[in-house]
Amino acid sequence: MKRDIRDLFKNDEVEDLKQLPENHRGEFLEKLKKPEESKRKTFVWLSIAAVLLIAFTIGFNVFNSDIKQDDNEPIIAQIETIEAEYLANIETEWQSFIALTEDEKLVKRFRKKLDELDADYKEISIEFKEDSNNIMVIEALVDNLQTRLKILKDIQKHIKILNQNNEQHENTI
Amino acid sequence: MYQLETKLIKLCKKGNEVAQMQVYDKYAQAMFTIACRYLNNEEDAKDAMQDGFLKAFVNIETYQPEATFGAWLKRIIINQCLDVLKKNQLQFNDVEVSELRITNEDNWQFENHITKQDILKVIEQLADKYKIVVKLYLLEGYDHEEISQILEIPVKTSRTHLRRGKLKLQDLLKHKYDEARY
Repeated sequence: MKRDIRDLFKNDEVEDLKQLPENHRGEFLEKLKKPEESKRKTFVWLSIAAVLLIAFTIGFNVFNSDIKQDDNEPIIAQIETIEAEYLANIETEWQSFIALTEDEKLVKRFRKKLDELDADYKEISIEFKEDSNNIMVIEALVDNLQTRLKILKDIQKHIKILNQNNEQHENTI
Repeated sequence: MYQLETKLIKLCKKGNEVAQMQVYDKYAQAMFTIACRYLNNEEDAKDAMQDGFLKAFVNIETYQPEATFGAWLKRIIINQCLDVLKKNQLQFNDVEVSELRITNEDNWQFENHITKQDILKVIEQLADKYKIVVKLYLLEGYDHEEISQILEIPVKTSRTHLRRGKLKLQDLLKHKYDEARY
């Protein structure tokens, strides 16, 4: 005997309901209260700030090529603000990365990478202090910070996908 | 009952949080169950479900009372789940699509002893692109037109995936049956 299995699935919505995790209501209420002002937006904001700063510096260079050293103070201050914000974000990402993995080798490898980038950054900073008007130097600074953020975000994404695949695998077994 | 829901939705349109929570409470479990069909990880399913609700509340102005609110919500939740899958680089499209063989498309006659549980289990073994289409068709009851909209694939691809999915299902279930006999 055969039957049309589509009939089996008609109006099935009610049965086999899955149990939601306990805290889901509170969590949702929280999400509802402060909708999506996630980190992403801060990054977008930071990128815009960096671009503006660079544009500003170019203008500064082109139109005021004969200004004195002392006038560079605002640029330095601005770079410092941006730097502080990036570093705070990098630290957050680093913490969430450590929380995500138990692989000590991996953590070490990334610590090393970040330290190398930091060393680079210090060198560029010295150059920046000598020649605060150089657009290439400023770009290199921002680039360096962005690279650090990016590798941290990338590895976390990768770990998440790996974890998910593992779980899927376990489920099928 | 129906009027209450209309009222709730009206309040949601005004951004009333209590009403939004009531709508959430009413549909969360069913929507979570649906999300779990597409995302194996329950944590992801819960997130997708909640994000879907948030999206629904943001876009609640676009809800037309022609469809039931549940159906409208379900579509949003499913889309949210598919977005998650897409982010993890699942391809729905297929290059080698066009086969002109449209054979017994409407024939879903399976042996009587095969239970719903058997079928659900076997669906999970299908390749991802077939799995999704089979679920949308069989479990959610969408037609090819709707599936092609949801997945942003041509109707033809949807038909092909479904046909192959079904053949594979029959094949897998047949094996199972044979094994049981010996």
